[in-house]
Order: sequence, then structure tokens, then C-alpha cells
Amino acid sequence: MSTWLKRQGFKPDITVAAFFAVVAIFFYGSILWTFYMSLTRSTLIPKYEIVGFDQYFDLFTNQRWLVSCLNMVIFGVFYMVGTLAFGTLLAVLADRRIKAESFFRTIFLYPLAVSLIITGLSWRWLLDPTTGLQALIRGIGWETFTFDWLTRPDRAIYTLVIAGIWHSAGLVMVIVLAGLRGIDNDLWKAIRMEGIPLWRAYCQVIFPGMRPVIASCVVLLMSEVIRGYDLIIAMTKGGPGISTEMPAKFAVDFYFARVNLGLASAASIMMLALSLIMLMPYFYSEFRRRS
Amino acid sequence: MRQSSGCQVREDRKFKINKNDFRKGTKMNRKCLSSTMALVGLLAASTAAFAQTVDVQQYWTSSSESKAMNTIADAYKARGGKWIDSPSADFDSTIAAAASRIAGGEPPSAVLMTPSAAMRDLASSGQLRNFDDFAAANGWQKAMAPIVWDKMNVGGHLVGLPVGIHADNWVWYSKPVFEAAGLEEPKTLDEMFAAADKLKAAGHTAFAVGGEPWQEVTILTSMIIALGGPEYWNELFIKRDPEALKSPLLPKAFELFRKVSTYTDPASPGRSWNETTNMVVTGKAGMQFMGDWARGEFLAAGQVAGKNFGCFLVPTDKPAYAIVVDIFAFPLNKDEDRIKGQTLLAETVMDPAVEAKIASVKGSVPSRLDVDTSTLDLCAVKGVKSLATPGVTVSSTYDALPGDLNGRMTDLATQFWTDPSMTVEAGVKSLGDILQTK
Repeated sequence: MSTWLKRQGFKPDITVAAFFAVVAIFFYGSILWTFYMSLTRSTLIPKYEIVGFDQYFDLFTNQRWLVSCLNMVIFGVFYMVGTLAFGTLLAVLADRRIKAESFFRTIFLYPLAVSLIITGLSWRWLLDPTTGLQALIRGIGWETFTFDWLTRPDRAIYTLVIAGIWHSAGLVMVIVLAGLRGIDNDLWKAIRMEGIPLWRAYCQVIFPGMRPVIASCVVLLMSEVIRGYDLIIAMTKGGPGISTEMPAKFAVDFYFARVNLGLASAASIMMLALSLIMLMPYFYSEFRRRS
Repeated sequence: MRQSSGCQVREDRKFKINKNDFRKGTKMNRKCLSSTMALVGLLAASTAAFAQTVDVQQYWTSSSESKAMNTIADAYKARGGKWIDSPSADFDSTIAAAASRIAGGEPPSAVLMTPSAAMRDLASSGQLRNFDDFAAANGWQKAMAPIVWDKMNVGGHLVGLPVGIHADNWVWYSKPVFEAAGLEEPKTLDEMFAAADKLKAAGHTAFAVGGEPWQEVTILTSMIIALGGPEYWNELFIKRDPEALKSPLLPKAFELFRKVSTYTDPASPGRSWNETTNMVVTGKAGMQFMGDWARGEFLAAGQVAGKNFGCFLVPTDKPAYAIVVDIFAFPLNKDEDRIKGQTLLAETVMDPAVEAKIASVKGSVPSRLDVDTSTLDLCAVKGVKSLATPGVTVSSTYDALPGDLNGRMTDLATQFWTDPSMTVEAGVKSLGDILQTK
């Protein structure tokens, strides 16, 4: 076989070139086409007459888009900080050589295996004030217990954060745990010899050394935030009102239901720009370290 | 000779696709046979042997809706057609699926939709089949109310066929609940809110509202039409006259809209319309603002208009009836059997007997004026009467507003509904901004 390949003058470059061509056409090509569409007044069917940046002006005067962006920031910050903190805490606990570690690890990793749609639905049922947690606790006898965040426009976004953290904390736990296991035992010996308290050891010695691990988690979680769609659809459908709308849902709604291809394309391009801005610190630190 | 070899090639090609489908294989043989017969001159036999397939993209999924869709499907199958059902969960995903299928070159042969901006878009980009010939041959224009006919026509071509007519501005109420509270059917807005207060005091949810944006905006538009009547409605939403925006009616409508929100129950957010109707059906709630597709849910639960439930158009001095028309639009298809399927479906839908049946299960009013209405109930008769009275019927915002204006108004309504800190002035101003965009 290999001699046959050699006779054919097989070169890996060709395979790679084909791969890059696919990426160039379907990925960057689509981005360019989307950008083109965002400069037109296309509705259901593409129109190819360029009108300039009108759609972007429309976008930034659209209340729902502004609310969507704000929600993404709120959700993003709370979700990322919460998931990192909770996941890291679990990892640290698991790293203290507890009993039945693999049992707990499986339990906490399990939510990740559940799709976001199921996650959203379950949490929706759980938090629905008339059938879920609130009704249960009131049924037990605590009549005044109230937890109706899901139906409160000013709080509903935080229920998404709760469901999101529940879903992703296990992932962070596993990654951080792997990082912790990679710490040299000599370092731990030194820490013990110096008599440094445990929390200081983690905060000042162990975690700073695990920056690449944390950075990977941040990038993974950030991509969840930006393309956040299924969780919202299953849990709140963007409501009450427009209080839990997000950019990805905005784009999908305007592409299809509102048949406004132009505005939806502008929203997609802005999402791309937002992702790049949010990832900038990461790239910056990566490049700086290499040079 | 040439004919038969052509037939052979065609069969081979199809055979590859349907290798395992024995039934299709025999059908192919029949088709082959029939085209040979056509060669001899039996043209009629050849057309009959073509399968007439229709692939219907639709969203009628609640119990009454699916009954109505089955009525159409059964009538269609009885005429010898093959029915492929492509259901979506809701209206929006139907449009999404249809649009992407059309763009992808695999259009459905019929799409259940409304004569909205999406239909006009599809039609003006030449994606929809027109039925001008059939309309002329069968006198369809005379069979429809002029406002309905106009909605179906884009650039002078008939591009949609009406399945049934609904109206937005209905209120549904539970008779037993009203009787227990000693209430009569309200004749004015004040009476309606007085009734709501009584129901609230009696421990009922006075207004059952499903907290989805499209359900909320219906209440706002119902208030506008109740206060302004058809003439003001047309100036505000059809002509989009800037003067109409200055009317003192608008702030009042927003206030009443907010007032309704104070009568709802805590489980309202996100609840679907038919679950919400069910609250009235079961007597948990007193009233619901909803289009008359709600009637189908009462009927599906075995209830009778005038006995178990009642209906009235949102009380107003100037009677108005804001219609939403369910239509089938027919994207251009290339396969002959699919084109024939479209034709057969068009004939099925426009059959007065089928229209009457749809109306009786779904709660709509027949879109043909010549349908026998003697079997329709109290509420449907109210609708038929309104439709027949000149100057009462107007186009709902769903159908009337261009582009995504209706969507943006929906966003505004749901924002105003859920955020009590948003002032009436801000609401009116935003509505003005939306209606003034091109």
C-alpha cells in the first residue's frame, strides 16, 4: 500500500489543501456572504442591492437587540464566574483524596451529558412557581415561601445562570482536576514544609501556575455564552417579555420568523465582532507569552 | 419504439432510488403502461395514473387544529391524492422551514401561512404559483369578500387560497363562571372590567392570558380597535397616518392593556394559547382575549356555544372585526405529480363543503361567502355577520403591516406588558417610531 502511495507521488499537502479549501469556502465564504447580506435590505429572499450600513443603524436602535446584548453580558459574567468558581471548588474537593472520588466525579460530570434542551425544560418545570419548587415547599407547609424568579422579568435571566452553572460546572471540574493532578508533588511537599495554609497555597501558588488550564475553561465557557440559544428556547423562550433575549436568538428569529435576512445578518456579524472582542484578551496573553 | 425506451430509462432511474420499495415499483410499471397507452391516444388514462402528491408545511398541532388539517387531508385523499405531512411546532418555524426549503431548492408544495409580509415577499420574488386561471374559471373572486380577495392578490395575481377566516378581537368566557357570579355578557369596556373585578373578587383568574408576546400584543390591538373602531384602525395601521399617532386613544389603549395585566395569574408567562383557553374551558378563569381559533378548543372539549361558553367581540361603539386569514400558498414546484397535487389541493380547499367542515371543527368562518352557514354555531354566526356587514371588517396587523413591523410591535407590547416601570408615554412613542419606519 505504502509503495503504491509513494508511486502516486502522494503528498500530505494536497489533503491539507483540500481541507483548507473547504474551510475557506464554507466558513469564511459564509462569513463574507453574511456580511454582504447585512449591507442589503434583504427580507425573506436575498436581494443583492447594497444600501450601506443601514441595517447596523437599525440594529442599534432596536430595543430588543440592546436588551439581548446586555443580557449576554449579565449572563456571561455570572455564568462564567459561577461555573469557574463552583467547578474549581469541586475539583479542589475531589483532589483532597476523598472517598469514592470517581463516584462523585461521575455525578458532577453527568449534567454535561444532558442536552441543553433537556436541561432547560427540567429547570423550567422545577422553577415554575405553580408546579415546581415553590409549590412543593408551600405544599409541605411553608406557605409564604416564594421563588418565582422564572416569571419575573428582572430575575428570569438569573434562572438561566443557575441552569447554565448546573450544566457546565462538571466540565470545569474535570479540566481543573486534570490540571491539579499535573502539579508536581515536590511543590506540595514544599508547601507543607513551609506550613502555608491551604487556601493561600491554592490561591497564590497552585492556581497561578494553572493559567493555561483556566484559560481553556474560559474560552470553552465563552463560546457557550455567545451561542447561547437552546437553553433559552427551552427555559424561557426569551421571556417574560424580552427580558431573557440573547443575540443568537435574535439572529435566528429575524432570519426566519421575522423574515428580515438583512437585519439578522447584521446581528450575526455583530456577534462575530463581539466574540472577537471577548477573545482578544486571551489571544493577547497567548501571543505575548510566545514572543 | 422511442417512447418505450424513454420509459425504460425513466424506470431505471427511479428504480435506483426506490430499490427496496416494491409498491413504488409496481406504480412505476403502471405509469409506464399508462404512458404507452397515452401514445395510443388515451390521454385521460395517463393523467389519472400520475400520483398526485402534495407536501404540506403546516403548524396546526392543537387538538382542534389537527382535526381541521385532517379534514383537508381526508378530503384530499378521497380525491385520489397522496398527502405528505410536514408539521412544525408553530407558525414561526413553519415559515422558517418553508423559506429554507425554498432557498435550498426543495420547496414544499403547499405552505400554511397568512397573507403577510412573508407571503408578499415570496410572491414578488416569483416563488409562488399563481391561480389566476382557476380563479377566473371558477369565479373565486365573487365567492370571497373583497378584503379577503385583495389580501390574496400580489401584483394582480392570486397567490394564496384561503382556508378559513379568523378574527383577532374576540373575548371568550365561561358561562358557568359568569352565571355563578351573576354576570351578563358585557356590552361596554367598562362593563367588561367591572365583570373582571367581580370575578377577581370571587377568586377566579379574571383574564386568562398566555404570556407569550404574540398573545399579549393581541390584547393591545384589541384595545386599540375597541376604542377607535375600524376607521381609526385603518388610519393607524393601514395608512399609517402620523396624525393618527397623536390621538388620545392610544395612551388610553396602553392604559387598558396594562390594566388587563393586573388580572392575570402568576403562571401566565410562557403559557401556550390553548393551555390558556383550557383555563376558561375548565372554569378556572373567566375570560380570555383570543382569536376565534379558541372556539375550536371549546368545541374539541365537547362544549357548546351559548351553553357552556360565550363569546363577544371586544366591546366597542363602532363594531369592528380584525381578520386573520389562514391560507395555503403554493411554492413553485417542478415535478409534474407535485404540480398536479397542488392543483388538486387547491380544488379541495376551495370546495364549499370542505370549507364548511373546516369552519365547524376549527372555529373559523368560511372564507367563501357561498358556504352554507346553517350548521355553524352562535359565535361563528356572529363572525359571518360581521364579515358581511360593510365597513366592519379590517385587516389584522399580522397581515397588514409590512416587513417586520408587526414583529417589532409585538416586542414593544410584551416589553410594556412585563415591565410596569415603562410609561404609557414611552409605549406610545415607541409604537409611533415603529409605525413610522419605512
